[in-house]
Amino acid sequence: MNKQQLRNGDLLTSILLVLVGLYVCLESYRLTLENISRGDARIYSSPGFVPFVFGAALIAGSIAVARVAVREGGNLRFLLPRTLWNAAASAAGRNTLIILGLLGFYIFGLLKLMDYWLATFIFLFAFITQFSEKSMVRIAFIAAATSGIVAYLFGTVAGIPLP
Amino acid sequence: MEGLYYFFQEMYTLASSATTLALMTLSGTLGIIIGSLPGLSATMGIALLTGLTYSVDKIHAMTILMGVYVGAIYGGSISAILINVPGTGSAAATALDGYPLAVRGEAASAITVTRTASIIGTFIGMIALVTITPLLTSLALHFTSAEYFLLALFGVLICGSVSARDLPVKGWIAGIIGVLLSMVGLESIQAVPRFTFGIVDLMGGISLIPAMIGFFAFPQIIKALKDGGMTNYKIAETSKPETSCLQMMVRNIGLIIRSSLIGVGVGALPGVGENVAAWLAYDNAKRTSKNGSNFGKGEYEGVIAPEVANNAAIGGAIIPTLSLAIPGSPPTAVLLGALLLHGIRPGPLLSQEFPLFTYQLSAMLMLSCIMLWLVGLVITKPMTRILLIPNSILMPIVSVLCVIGAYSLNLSSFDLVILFVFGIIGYALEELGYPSAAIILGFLLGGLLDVNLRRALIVSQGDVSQFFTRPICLIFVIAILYTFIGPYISRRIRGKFREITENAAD
Repeated sequence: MNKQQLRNGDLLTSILLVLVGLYVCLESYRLTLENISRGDARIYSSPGFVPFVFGAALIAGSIAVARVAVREGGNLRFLLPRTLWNAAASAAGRNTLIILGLLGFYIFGLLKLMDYWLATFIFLFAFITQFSEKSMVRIAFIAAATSGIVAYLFGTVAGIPLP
Repeated sequence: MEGLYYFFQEMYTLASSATTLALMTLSGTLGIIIGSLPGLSATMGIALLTGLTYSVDKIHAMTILMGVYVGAIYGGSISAILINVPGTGSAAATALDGYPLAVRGEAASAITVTRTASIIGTFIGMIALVTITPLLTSLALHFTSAEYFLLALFGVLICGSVSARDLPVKGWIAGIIGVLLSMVGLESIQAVPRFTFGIVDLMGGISLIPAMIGFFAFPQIIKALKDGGMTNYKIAETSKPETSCLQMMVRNIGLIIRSSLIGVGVGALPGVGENVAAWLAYDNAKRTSKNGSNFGKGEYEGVIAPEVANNAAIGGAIIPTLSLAIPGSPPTAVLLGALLLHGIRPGPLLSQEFPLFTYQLSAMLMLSCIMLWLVGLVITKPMTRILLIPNSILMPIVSVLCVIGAYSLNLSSFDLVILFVFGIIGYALEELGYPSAAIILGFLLGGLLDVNLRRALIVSQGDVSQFFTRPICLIFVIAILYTFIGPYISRRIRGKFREITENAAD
């Protein structure tokens, strides 16, 4: 990530973090009001007190980062659909999305649908195939051996319940 | 003296158990492999193993984690020397002189020297641990909530300052994000749910282990593979060592003492850790050596100093972890989580609740030194083959282990959601320069901050003057103020490192 991309990202992150900070402060304020309604008028003993302080600090820090980002040329033009598409279509962007997609598919799909060892075999086979230039047979062997060893070692020997 | 007696007693107990020795050897070997493989780190290894060893009894679990910790910090130097790619951040300084030595055909000597330096460093760190921890623990017994709050705040801020690559404020924001994440769930004074969005699974808070694995492992997996995962390392030859290691150590005894003091001191600073210790020791060695101009061209002093320091930092980092419940480095932040999971509550009451635990951990550290020596002797050759495992195979396997590690603790599918979501957030934040270490430290210390700030104010009926009038509080206030000025100093230090790196590259 070059400096310009970093500052663009900083600007967007700062805006998101300011929104998170605002939510935290508002929710903390609500918790404090609830505490007062329960008969405790001390603000500092309220469950919302510390989150409010840190929420406010998050807002202040994020504004400081946003200021630096703007000063150093950060902007939000990268959010234009075409620029986003180009970033996603780059080798690094595509690989990142593939990795996240595979992990998401494994965690939320395969593991819920089938036995652990089979889900793991399919995941490993798909994952390694995507990034390795080894032959399919070799990859299938690695995937089968790994899923078998992991399932046996953790599930049977160590007695750890598998997902 | 009493402490030493307990230490030797624990040493004897642990060493007389075949299971402990076997676990120590296996975990040490695993640690060396984890540390040497670029893309895997000590912190990630400990986070993974914490989840996987949850069902193991606490002494064996700690033995495994300590073995992995010590092994991984040393292991980083092997790839630094053989392929010029440091396996862990703490070995980055070692690569500067280690690889030129390997290119010169002295890889085996360099590895032997770094191993001995690592063992000496770990040993000195262990001595500091066994002697300083009880003193700090008794001092901490005088801490009130105000001191605890300020100490935890200092820990979060200093960790943020030191670990932020870009702007220091990003490190502080990362710490704040961690603190806010720790607020999710039922709060501990009035049992009021906070930020749960009505999700029952969040009532107990965000699970530590899935969050840690997500923050530390997912970014590593993506980083290792997003450029294709090809690893075409040129591995240096390892012939027989030609230099007498013992003579070299005796010749550099002053350097070793200085580097180990730097290691222990930097390690004991909350959240700072092994990486900074190694760089500072390298810089110190370069400035004080007669051969300073040869640094970066293959100077043995350039591998001894960082290796002694980063391993001495292990003991140093465990000191505040055990005595104050404030981790000294990212791996000890994870270790703190592991201790809490096993029902061991570090802090001033540790000496009352588990009076022998400090000595047990010190004995584990000592045994891991011996293990490091034995395993290191036999693993160097096979290591050249292990380093050839491409990331395209390694990282999918690591992903599978991450899922087991995150799930095994609570057997909850929701923990896998936490793993995935925090993995994505961790990757995005890490890419933008918000350090995961500071997030995790904030997450670990958030509860301490919350309870102690409110308790201090409740006891004093809202009077904040206690934070400035109590002597220890005042020290912490000054330290906190320093962390705001410190980044300017650390920017200068970083500039110096860059200078050293550039000089070495030239």
